[in-house]
Amino acid sequence: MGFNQNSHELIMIKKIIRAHIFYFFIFFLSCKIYEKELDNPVDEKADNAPELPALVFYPKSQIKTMSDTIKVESFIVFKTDSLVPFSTIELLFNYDNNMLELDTVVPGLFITDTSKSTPLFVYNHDSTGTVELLAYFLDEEKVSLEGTGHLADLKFYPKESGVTTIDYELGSCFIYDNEDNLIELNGTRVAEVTIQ
Amino acid sequence: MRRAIFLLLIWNLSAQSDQSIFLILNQYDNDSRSIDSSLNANFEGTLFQFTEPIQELIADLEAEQYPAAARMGLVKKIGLEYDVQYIVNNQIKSNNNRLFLEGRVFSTRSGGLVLRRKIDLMNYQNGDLNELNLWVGQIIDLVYPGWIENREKILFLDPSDMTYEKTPMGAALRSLFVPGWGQVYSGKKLSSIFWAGLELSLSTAIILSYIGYDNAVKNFLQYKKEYDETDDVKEIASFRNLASEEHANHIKYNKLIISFAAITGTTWIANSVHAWVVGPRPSLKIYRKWDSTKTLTN
Repeated sequence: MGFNQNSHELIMIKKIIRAHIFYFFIFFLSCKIYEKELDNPVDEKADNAPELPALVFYPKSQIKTMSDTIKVESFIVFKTDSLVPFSTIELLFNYDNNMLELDTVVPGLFITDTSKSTPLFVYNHDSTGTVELLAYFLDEEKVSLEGTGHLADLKFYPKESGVTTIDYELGSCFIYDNEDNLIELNGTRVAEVTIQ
Repeated sequence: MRRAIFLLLIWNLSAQSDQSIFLILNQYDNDSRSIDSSLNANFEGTLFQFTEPIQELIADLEAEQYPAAARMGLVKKIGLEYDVQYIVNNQIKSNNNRLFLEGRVFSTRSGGLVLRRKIDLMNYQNGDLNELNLWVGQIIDLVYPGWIENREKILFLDPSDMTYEKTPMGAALRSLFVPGWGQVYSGKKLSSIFWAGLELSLSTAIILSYIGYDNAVKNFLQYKKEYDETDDVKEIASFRNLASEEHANHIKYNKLIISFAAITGTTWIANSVHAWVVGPRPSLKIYRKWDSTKTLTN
């Protein structure tokens, strides 16, 4: 220890240590670990994927204003290693008719085989916020569809601001193969809409 | 009384033989100053001969592989020529209050360089004369105590009077600020290069890891965004794989950053401790500033 160690040196030590701690703190703050949230509803391996096959909505959440049109896409998701061909779908959706007003329901790309065919596509909706959809795949060559795909688009108008959900009523949703055999559905995912 | 006894001894010694003991070859940077006459007065008798410096005796002597034996023939020849036992050469320089004195003593009997010393002192009044007196007195083993007292006057008797321009703590602080600086401050250039190089390498590793981390994060966020924004099954699978890969990369680089930062921090502190350990410390012979209020004893 030098004879000249005085308060000036101690102050210097404190300042240097503080500076080092500050820079290390800043440095480590800039190196955070991000959560691996991969939760696209159409992804069979999504973080919150239901048991497959399942009916899901895409996107899982969206934020809209009162002047926007809200579009929610209905998808069927299969595991890629256990695909089942189907040709008929009967779906029942529920939404909050106090916040949303159904505009229309249009066929998705998958059910039209990427616009190569025109399916039989009908829907009913009542004032309670329930939509019944019935679609038959019709094509001259193919009798059924296979895989994960886009079944329908639901378009709404917002009625008031708030947060609401659109969901499937699983017990009233059915899909059949071309021989009218029921294919079991195991899960659904809701869509969340925030209206500002 | 002591001085009288001392001078009597010198007189007796010189009376034993007519041979001069010393050939003095003093070399001054300033011609106005000469201590030859003072030397003669302090050592009365016929002990000294004075002549101009003989350049070939000392020129490039330090560069010789064996300086002690490099001028044996010449020394013996000069010894015979002047009939002396020793040749004393002093190169004396003064700069403001600083005294540089480089002295050599050759024995004409063996021809070898038997003594040599260097002095570099501040504020040592009449230091050249006092040191020359001590130099000659020590050779013939007749030292006047007053000369020793004069030298002791520049010694610190109380350690608390000492001030140090450089301290181990000063070295440690510098190394804490910039690795290797404290070692440079202490004159340890090799270890300063080592510490600075080590810290530079580790810092580079941190920066490279950070660049890798930053790229992985940017790519991850981009692929995640594209994954979230598509409803195409093939694209989803592709972006999921890419995002997962970049996510794993960003964790890997984050771990590397933490590891390198920990090593760097530890090494940084070790470098500072090392600077303190090898830091400048008092040497055995410490001199203080000359106190001009005290008079010379001789």
